[in-house]
Amino acid sequence: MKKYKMANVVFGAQYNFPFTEFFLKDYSYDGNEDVEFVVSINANDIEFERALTPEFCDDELENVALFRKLCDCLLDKKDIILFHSSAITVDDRAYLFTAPSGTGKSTHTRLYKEYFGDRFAYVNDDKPFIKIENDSVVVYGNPWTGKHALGNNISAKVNGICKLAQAKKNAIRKMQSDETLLTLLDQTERPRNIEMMDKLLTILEKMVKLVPSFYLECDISYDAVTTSYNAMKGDNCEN
Amino acid sequence: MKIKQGFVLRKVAENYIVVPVGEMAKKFNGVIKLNESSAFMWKKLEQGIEFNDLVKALTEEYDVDTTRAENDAKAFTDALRQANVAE
Repeated sequence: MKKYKMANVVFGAQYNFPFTEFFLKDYSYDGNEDVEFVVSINANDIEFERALTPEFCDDELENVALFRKLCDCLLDKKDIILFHSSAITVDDRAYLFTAPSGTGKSTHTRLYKEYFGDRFAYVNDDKPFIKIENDSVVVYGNPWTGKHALGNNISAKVNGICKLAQAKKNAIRKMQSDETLLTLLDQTERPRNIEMMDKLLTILEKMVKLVPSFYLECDISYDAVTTSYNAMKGDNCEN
Repeated sequence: MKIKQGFVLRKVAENYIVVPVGEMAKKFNGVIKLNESSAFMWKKLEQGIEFNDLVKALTEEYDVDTTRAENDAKAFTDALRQANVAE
């Protein structure tokens, strides 16, 4: 069993393939804290994933199985959720960009990187972890960073959530709480039972209440970046 | 009429939503948004209720006449039946 730390949680993982060890290396933990739980992958788990994605080979299947089990444990034991979004920081404050796959989240955040330079960092371009801590929404990196492998082992408080849609002109507005809730629910993993669903909804409810959410229609330009950033940055940011 | 197994009604940040869980989540790929009065009807239907009793409950709970209650109840139950959420 190897020890890892993600989203401030120390856990153990038991797996078979060298690829998995390589994949997780940035998050390995050699401190003294005990593991809070152990995630182990066996042949049944691999076959379960193979039924869903038969085109994957065994080490990829193990990777997916481990992620699935880890997310399950994090929600069940630590009230940590997965949120499908491109999570980035500007001046160490995080912004989550969400939309169905293919809409252009990564394109938009790539423009943020170009525009803000050193002030910018990726937390996780695909599926970051989210936790509510002391009335703040905090986003955490993990190794599952999506197609472009963009992410870091960092965390930050979330300043704003932005749903994206493609458009010819850039325009942004605030979302109402019901819109935000459905947007968040749409981009999280649906739990398998009522207890887990209740946990998820409790967390989503806090996200809706604690962080302003916006709906951005945008093109591919720096104007789109300033449109979303200026709306989300809040009064306590200088520029 | 009764709501099928596998749906959960929750009030979240002033909104009523219904989400499928477990086996139902594999069949029903969506979320239902309800307002106050349809959430009221949903709770009755979760237990199983005859149409006329549902109408009666509506007239008792809300300040509406029977005809209005019947129309609203019919619209709601028809939609649920069509969406395969209740039978």
